[in-house]
Amino acid sequence: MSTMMTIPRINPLLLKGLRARVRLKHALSWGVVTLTVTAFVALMTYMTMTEQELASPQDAAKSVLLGIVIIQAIVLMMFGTGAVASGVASEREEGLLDYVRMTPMSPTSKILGYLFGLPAREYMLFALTMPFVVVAAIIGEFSVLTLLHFYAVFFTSVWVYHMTGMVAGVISHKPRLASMMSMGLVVVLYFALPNLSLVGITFFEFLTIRPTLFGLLWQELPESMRGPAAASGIDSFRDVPFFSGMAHPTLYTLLVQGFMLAVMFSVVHRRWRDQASHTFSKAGALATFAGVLVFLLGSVWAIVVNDEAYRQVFGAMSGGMGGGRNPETVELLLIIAVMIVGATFLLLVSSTTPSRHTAVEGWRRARKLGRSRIGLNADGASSLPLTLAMVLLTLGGGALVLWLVGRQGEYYARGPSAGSMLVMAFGIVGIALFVQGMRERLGFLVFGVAAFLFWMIPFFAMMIMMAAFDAYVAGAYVGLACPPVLLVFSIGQMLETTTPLAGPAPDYLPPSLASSAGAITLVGAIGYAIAGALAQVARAANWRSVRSGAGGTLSRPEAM
Amino acid sequence: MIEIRDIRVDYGDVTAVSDVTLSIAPGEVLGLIGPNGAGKTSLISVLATLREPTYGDVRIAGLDIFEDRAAVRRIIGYMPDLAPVYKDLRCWEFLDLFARAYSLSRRDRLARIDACIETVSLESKRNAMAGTLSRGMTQRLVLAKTLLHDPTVLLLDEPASGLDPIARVDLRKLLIRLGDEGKTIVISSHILQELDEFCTSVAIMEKGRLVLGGAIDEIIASLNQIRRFSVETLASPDAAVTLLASLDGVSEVRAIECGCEFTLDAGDERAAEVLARLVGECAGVKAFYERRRGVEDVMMEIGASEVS
Repeated sequence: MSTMMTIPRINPLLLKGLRARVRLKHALSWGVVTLTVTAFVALMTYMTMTEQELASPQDAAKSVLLGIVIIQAIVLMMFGTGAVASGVASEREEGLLDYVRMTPMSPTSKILGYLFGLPAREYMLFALTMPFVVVAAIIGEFSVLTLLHFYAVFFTSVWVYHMTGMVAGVISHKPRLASMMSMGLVVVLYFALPNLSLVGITFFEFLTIRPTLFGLLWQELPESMRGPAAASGIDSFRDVPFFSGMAHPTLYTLLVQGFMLAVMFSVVHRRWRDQASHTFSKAGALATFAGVLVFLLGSVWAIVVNDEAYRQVFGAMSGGMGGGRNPETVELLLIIAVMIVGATFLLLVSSTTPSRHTAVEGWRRARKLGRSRIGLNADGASSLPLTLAMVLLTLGGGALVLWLVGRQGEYYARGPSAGSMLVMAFGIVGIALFVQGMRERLGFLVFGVAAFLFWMIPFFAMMIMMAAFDAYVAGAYVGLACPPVLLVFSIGQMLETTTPLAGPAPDYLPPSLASSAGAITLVGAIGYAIAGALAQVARAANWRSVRSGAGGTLSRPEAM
Repeated sequence: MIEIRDIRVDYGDVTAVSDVTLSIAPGEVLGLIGPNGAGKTSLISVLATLREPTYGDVRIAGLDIFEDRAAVRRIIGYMPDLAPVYKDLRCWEFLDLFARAYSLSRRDRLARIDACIETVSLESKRNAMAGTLSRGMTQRLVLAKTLLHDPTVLLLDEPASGLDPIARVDLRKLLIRLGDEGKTIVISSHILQELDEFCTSVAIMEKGRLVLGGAIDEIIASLNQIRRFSVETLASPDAAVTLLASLDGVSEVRAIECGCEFTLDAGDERAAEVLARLVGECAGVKAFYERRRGVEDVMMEIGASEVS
């Protein structure tokens, strides 16, 4: 077509966002509110501090700047994320997204257009607060480089949050649900999980601006205003132990956020191509799993081999160890790592396992194309190969950590017995096969309800039996129905078989359980191996029925 | 222009489109007809590259619509059923968004926006917020958006829904004009009369299957030879009805408001004889003509149900 140009000058969706959300009427009303609140916070802080002689003008200005940054974070991270999530979800619900999908814009342009266009008003409000930042920075004698450094990380964090909103928007069916889902994801990913840094799992913490905020801005305040370094969070902005080396906190932040952005970008990209597709492709799920495993291993590895990293995290737990390492920290690390891996596994298996209908579609397509099987990466394919690959990666990662701990020679004199490791591996494989088989056989909803009932009730019963009746052994057997319980016992039992270094033997399991732990974990592992085998038999039978169901409806109509 | 081969679309247990094969020539205006749930919208959404079918191939202008999505999207214009608009944009801004998305140059963009607004007669609403438009005006705005990049293939899903009678007439004229310009148009509707005037071919769908497809004239010719005639009279048609009922080859005689109708299973000579008898024996016969058979008659004859 002669009227076509190759590259549009401005992203149309960005322009649309500006026109729709920064109309004069809106800009004025929202702008006045933001300016009023920001001016109030700035003047109130500055004048109170200087008039009451609580701080010098420079320090008061630094406090003002921190207050404004908090306002900016609320505007861009909370309101902006909500705007992206509800904007994408409502366009999807109304069918407007189809118009955009049909244009020849590349998926990347579309994603970028929405990423910056939907929160256009929030960016405008952010810009309105910037003069206050400039004035505060000048009075507070802030380094321009420090500010630029901070805002670089601030904006990558904002984009991670906004991508989270977009993911919620393309996954959920209703705008309200999308908004709630994005809030939930933000709370879990950026408020709850970062607390794992307290036990050395640092990467979630660096998804947030916390380390940079505290490390670059907060530390500028005098100690009298912010408290001692350890309490104020300044210490979180330090070189991050990662595998055998140290990563600069900004570099690590960008690495972690880049990984998250890549995962979310691939999710949105897939949904953009086909609304009915799974959230993750099988290959994408495996790559995501491997990425999480690498970050997890990086943290665990560093704690195991790096004295400084170990002291930062577990210094308090090793008080009585004469400067040595507390072997119980290995148990804690393994349990947390297994829980994170397990949750990631559950999420990925759940989102890549085909429903009966998707599988039938896959078979019909395969047959039509003259293929004897569905492509491994297709949505209609079973998630069993992916499950096996994730199990292999998990076992490999676990073996690596145990080898590393043994090589370090600071946790125990002789490592776990081969039998205990085998039981643990057996349990992991059994649980994985059981979960995948049941998920594929029962479907998402039934599996979800069944998992809640049949895993949580035994878990609660176990807790009551142990806490109220001291029935540890019986409680443990009841609790085995909940897979994470078996994993926790397996880790404890495995470490119980180690030979301790000189000094008091560590308590990996409660004393009343220690003697029965071998039997409990063996029963659990055998139970899950049987359950896993049965689940796979049920899954295979279901697969055959799906396959024949797809074949039965392949007859062609009469020629027209 | 459009080659559809063995398309199947499933939604869970429901098969929306079942092994449809269809060929649409350049410049053809195809009416996609069928009751609600026949699979028309699903088929159009596949053609619009919005839904991947369970299997099957579609080529538009020789391009595989799934392999060459971007190229195909440049040459198709799609208007969905109950088409939505960005309520917080002005009409021209709404069009400008898509003109930019289709990479029109600045000069062409402004010219095309004005031309399309004029085409759908929305000049007075150029600066109105899209959210303030009536249902019919919204449909027209979306039609303008569909025409904006001058697509050679138009996919219109129930474009007349929500339009008032005058707007329907305008739409019909516009589609006739677009058809004359050589655009290939696929238009789905279950209001058969509106397809009659400008469709060159039809595809009738029922329960996901293509029941009948081809040029309207050929389909009519292929159906049986029974012809339907109308007689208009100045006074009561009772005498004409009585006479017609007694004649050989005449059947299904029924009185209407100002005359009667009947079917005749015979050729032109017999029709002339019937006319002569009517004029000779019944007073006040003022008109006698064969009714042109259209899409609705085709539908009635093949027995597709639930069509309004």
